[in-house]
Amino acid sequence: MAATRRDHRDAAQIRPLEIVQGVLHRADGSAQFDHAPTAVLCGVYGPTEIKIRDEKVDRATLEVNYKPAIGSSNTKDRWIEYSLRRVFEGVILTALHPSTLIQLNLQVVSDHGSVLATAFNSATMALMDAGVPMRTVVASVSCAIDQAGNVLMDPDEEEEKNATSCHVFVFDAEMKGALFTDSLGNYTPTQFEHCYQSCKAGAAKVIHFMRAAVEAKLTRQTQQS
Amino acid sequence: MAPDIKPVVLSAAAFEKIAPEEFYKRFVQNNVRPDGRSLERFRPTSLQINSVTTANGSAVVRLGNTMVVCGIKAEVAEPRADAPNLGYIVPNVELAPICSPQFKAGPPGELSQAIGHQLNRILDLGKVLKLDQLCIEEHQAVWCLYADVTCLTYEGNILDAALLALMAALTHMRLPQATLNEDTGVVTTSLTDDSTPLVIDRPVYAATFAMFPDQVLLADPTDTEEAIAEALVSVVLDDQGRQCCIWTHGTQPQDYTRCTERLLTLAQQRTTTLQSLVTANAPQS
Amino acid sequence: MDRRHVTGPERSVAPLPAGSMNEAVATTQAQTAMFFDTQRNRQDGRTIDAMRPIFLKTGLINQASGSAYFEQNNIRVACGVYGPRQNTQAQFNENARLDCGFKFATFACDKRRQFQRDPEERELSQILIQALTPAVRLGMYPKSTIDIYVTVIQSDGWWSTLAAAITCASVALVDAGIDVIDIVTASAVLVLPDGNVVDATQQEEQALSAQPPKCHGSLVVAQLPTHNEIAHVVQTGKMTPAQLTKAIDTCLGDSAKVHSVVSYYLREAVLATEPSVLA
Repeated sequence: MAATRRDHRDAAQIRPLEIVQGVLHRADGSAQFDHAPTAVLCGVYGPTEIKIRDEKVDRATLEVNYKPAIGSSNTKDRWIEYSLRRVFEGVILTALHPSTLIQLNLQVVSDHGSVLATAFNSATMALMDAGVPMRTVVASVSCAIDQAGNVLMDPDEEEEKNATSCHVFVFDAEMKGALFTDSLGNYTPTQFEHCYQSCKAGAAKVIHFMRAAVEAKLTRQTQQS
Repeated sequence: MAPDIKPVVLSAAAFEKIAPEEFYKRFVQNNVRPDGRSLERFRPTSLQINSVTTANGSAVVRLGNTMVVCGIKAEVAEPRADAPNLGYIVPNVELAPICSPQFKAGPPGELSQAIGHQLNRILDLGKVLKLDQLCIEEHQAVWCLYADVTCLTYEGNILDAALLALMAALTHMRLPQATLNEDTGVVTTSLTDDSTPLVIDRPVYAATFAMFPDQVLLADPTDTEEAIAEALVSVVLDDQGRQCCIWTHGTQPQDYTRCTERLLTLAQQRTTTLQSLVTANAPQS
Repeated sequence: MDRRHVTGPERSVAPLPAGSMNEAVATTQAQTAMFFDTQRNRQDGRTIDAMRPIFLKTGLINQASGSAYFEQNNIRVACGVYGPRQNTQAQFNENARLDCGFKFATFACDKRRQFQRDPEERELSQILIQALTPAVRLGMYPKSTIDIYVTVIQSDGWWSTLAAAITCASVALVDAGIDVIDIVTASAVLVLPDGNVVDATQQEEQALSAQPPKCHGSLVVAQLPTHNEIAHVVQTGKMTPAQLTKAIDTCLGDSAKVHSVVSYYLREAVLATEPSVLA
């Protein structure tokens, strides 16, 4: 009874994923992650020199800069930066690089819904590309509940706008639990539980895809050398 | 014979500074917190409504040693072209250097912007109140409510305090009767006291918890607890107990299927308490 | 445009009270007439030489080195003192640097204020530094800064609020345990041809500004009461030297009263925490 969506997906289907690592030449690591047509580009710099003012003597300082696709940034983007920073401060092994700065620069290439989840995924891939030591790999999937109560995975911008509630979850690769959740709207505990489980399953798929992408890249590299 | 080694005695304050995680672990093991609270207890909360007479509505919230003042100023603005009868509510949180040494002077920092935005999306996407009641004259003039939350003392859990102050101020504020003069385009308010309160469709209140190892929940965390917690969970429920927002972020993955029930029960109790606090504190008119 | 706050519409204005401008002027004039009748009590029942009652509390901000909250009916001022802490500026300074951040809450006045510190608030910060410096023993804290942050939660009378802020900041300095030679107390008067109006409210100040330009002005005097010295004087408007002398005398008398309230409070506060100190 798949609900047909605008882009002919069924309710549980995630949009086609695409990962390109190492897209930026000057950055220490970079990646573009697509939940096509939504795409976020991320460049990682670091560990690098830090201003004395921001220095932490026992671990690296993480700085996140997030730029929206259009317009200048506002408080919404600060909120996204705050969320990303909270998660990646726990994921990156910051204690290995004390008194340094790790900078995550995200640029939304095109925004067609689920941009926060895409940003999380993009940052993970860029950090991997930069070789920043991490405790785990994280993956994010969002979903929306429409007026009829259907749970739509990886919603586009129209679906987000018309939803009664929107949910974003970030899971670690071992699926121990969520590192970040953001559920907003009007929903029941059962719906929340359902979204949690659906997104967990979705995140597992994303992790699988990330693994395949990294494997493919490494295979390519070994063949070339 | 081994030399006489005297054990190093640390003062509690020094212990807390040097090893906050271990310091807290000792307390949590005994089901108590350094400030004497049990783990699931919120700090004493008090509310003072409409004490700031220069504002259209105001609330002073004390949540232990966190104290915020929300003042609402109503101004007149042109509506957006795509929403000719909708007014504006603009919530902002100011964490100035007066309230804690961790905040610097100058433009607002990341936390104050993030919390301001979180309040904004709770009001907007949580459908707390209808903005058409702020209409003065369609296409021409609507009310714009600037709800500014100023923090005077900061000791953690700013979201709970700010949202409570905002809800209390909105619930008890009054809008003056306004008319638009078609010829001059000037909006005037009547001098007689025929102001009206706002209709709040869905009063919402937040309950924030800090997650400690082994899924131990600490309700209403202080700033020290926030800093060492594995994750922070903010549950926003409305007066009917329906969920409006769950916002969690942290450094360690948390299996929320195991603790959601407990979280919701505690948040539900907290919401009931806050709701009665807001309704009981009706201002003397 | 300000992108660091949740933004509303590009432009918004405070609504005007109803009635034509003439009516508004007439009302103000009636108020003014009443106000200048020195024989009558003021709108809040005070005589012209009476101050509003003072409420004072220290230790409000537990994260600060010292803090104070000062209330005079509708005037509410909070002050937090941080320091002495390290002066981050490279240059060596054998004296401590006194810094002040004076801020009105956006809803503290009739007109909504902006978040950014405006020139008026910067000026008030300077006045506060000038008024407090004579009392603080800056030589005790080389290479350090003492930051004084004042937030006005509500103001009622520009001059009275300034006086309240000075007193409040001085009490916060004492609460922080900073070495001072005296407490600075301040008071404000409006100077009129036929007398001085003490501790004026916003309404009274407005009535005065609507008055045709006769001899009138405003004055705030900050003093070191036990030394019987003046720390700072802020004066505007036109007045004769004789009027000024008389007004300063009024202010000194009033701030001595403020001082008695402050020292009584501080004594009680110390007794409450450490009864042995004053035994």
